[in-house]
Amino acid sequence: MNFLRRQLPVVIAFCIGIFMFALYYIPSAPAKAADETLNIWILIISAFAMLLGIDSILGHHIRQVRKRAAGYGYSWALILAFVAMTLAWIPWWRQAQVTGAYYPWGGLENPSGVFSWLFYNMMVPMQATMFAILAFYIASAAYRSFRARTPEATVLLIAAAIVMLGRVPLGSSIGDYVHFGSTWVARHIGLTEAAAFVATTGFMSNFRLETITSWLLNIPNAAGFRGIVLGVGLGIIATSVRIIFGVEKTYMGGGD
Amino acid sequence: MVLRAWERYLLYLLVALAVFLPLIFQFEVWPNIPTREVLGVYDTVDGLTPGDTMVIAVDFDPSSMPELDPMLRALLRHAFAKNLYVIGVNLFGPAGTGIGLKAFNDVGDELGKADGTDYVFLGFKPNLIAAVRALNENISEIFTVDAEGRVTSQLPIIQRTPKLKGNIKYLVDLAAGETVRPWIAYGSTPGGYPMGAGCTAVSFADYFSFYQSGQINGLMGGLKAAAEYEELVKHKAVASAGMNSQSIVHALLVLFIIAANITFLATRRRRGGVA
Repeated sequence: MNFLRRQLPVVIAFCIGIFMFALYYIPSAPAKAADETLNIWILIISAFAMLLGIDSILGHHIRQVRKRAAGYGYSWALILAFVAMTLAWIPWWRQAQVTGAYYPWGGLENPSGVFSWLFYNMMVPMQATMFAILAFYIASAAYRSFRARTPEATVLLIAAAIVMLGRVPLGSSIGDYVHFGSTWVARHIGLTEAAAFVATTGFMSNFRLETITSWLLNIPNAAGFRGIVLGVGLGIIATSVRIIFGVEKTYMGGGD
Repeated sequence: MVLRAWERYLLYLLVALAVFLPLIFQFEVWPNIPTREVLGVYDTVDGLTPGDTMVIAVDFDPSSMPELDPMLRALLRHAFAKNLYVIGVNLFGPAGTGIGLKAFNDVGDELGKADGTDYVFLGFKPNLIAAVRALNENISEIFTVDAEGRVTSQLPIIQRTPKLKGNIKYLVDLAAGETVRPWIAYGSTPGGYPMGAGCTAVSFADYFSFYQSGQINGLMGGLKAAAEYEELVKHKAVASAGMNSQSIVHALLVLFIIAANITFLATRRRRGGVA
């Protein structure tokens, strides 16, 4: 039993891992065919993972209802919604094409069915609403947390403000106003050469919010993010090697 | 810092007004000039020859729909106007299928395109990496039926384009999550087709390094990019309508930050350097 639970999964992971790795370096038709077949296996296994997810979420909420835990009414809502959408999705009988009678069952392939109605009129607006509420939380969080406590925090704060304005049409217009204003001021205080320089060379465009935003994204942000991506890549390689050679066993669950 | 109840209500009220009023009372003050990143996608689609096939990956769900659905519709409008064949696929989550299917059918019907011949929406498959690799080799093997339950091998568009590798001229991934990187690594690079991406505004900075390195030739970030694309295809819709709201809300957030910092610095000075 211990062999089935602990050693066999490691052996399978090792053999499949090495085999998949080797396939990448074998430029032959059988290797390519084997790679494609294994790829389809991965897709089938992934579909079973979705079943596990359904089992997990339903199991949790059924337990909540049984225990009458705090907020178990929401668990009822989830269970009923799940059952309703599943029942609506099943094509209980074939639609009588000739009679043209209303057919409520089936998935998205039936645009007038109950499932499509539930999806487009309940699920989509509710999920979109959840995301939309973020605008209010972000406003509140920005007001509460964005503080110039240290020089680093001040740099972050200024960069955030510039990017926030530089990524909306208002920000581009601010650049136009600044350009127009600086030329006007230079001309009216007698700095005609400076005014001409500003107006003709586009020097002020360097200080436009969208230009600074572009620089922030192109240089410091891209540099930092590239470092993160490289780190993630190396991490994935290290974890893969650990799994293939049986050093990392947490994927088997149980914590032992 | 803990907000008092009235402060929180005032913040929420101001944000709500900044969102709703510009949507109710439309005005055109601030021009939305297309950026280089958005032009990258637009110019590539515009440069394709009628009869070419492109793929749009609808890798988002309803939570990101307000930003990415206008982008999808503008892109579809452009592709259909250019008489391109469009294949849609969703590898992010099951909920994305309904959104993609509706957008493809709405824009397709509007521009007189035939479902299954000029365009198809394949639907959802789990495991992004395996799905992308399989799509490159054989579409019908992984998607035996499309999102509407039709056998894909019998659809004219799939008979013309049995696999992505060597057949498609462009791919755009509209991503709500981490889908751009696998599409680059397992789709576009081995498949040899160029790729662009669209994402939510918060993910824009994450994907910018891929744009900078040339792995994607265009990047559309958030509602602003969708509005820019609407301007480019000369069909202003919901994204353009939302630009005034977004401009005012962003300005309001900056004002909140400034006000909060003035309060913070004043408090610190009053307490002798400790806030």
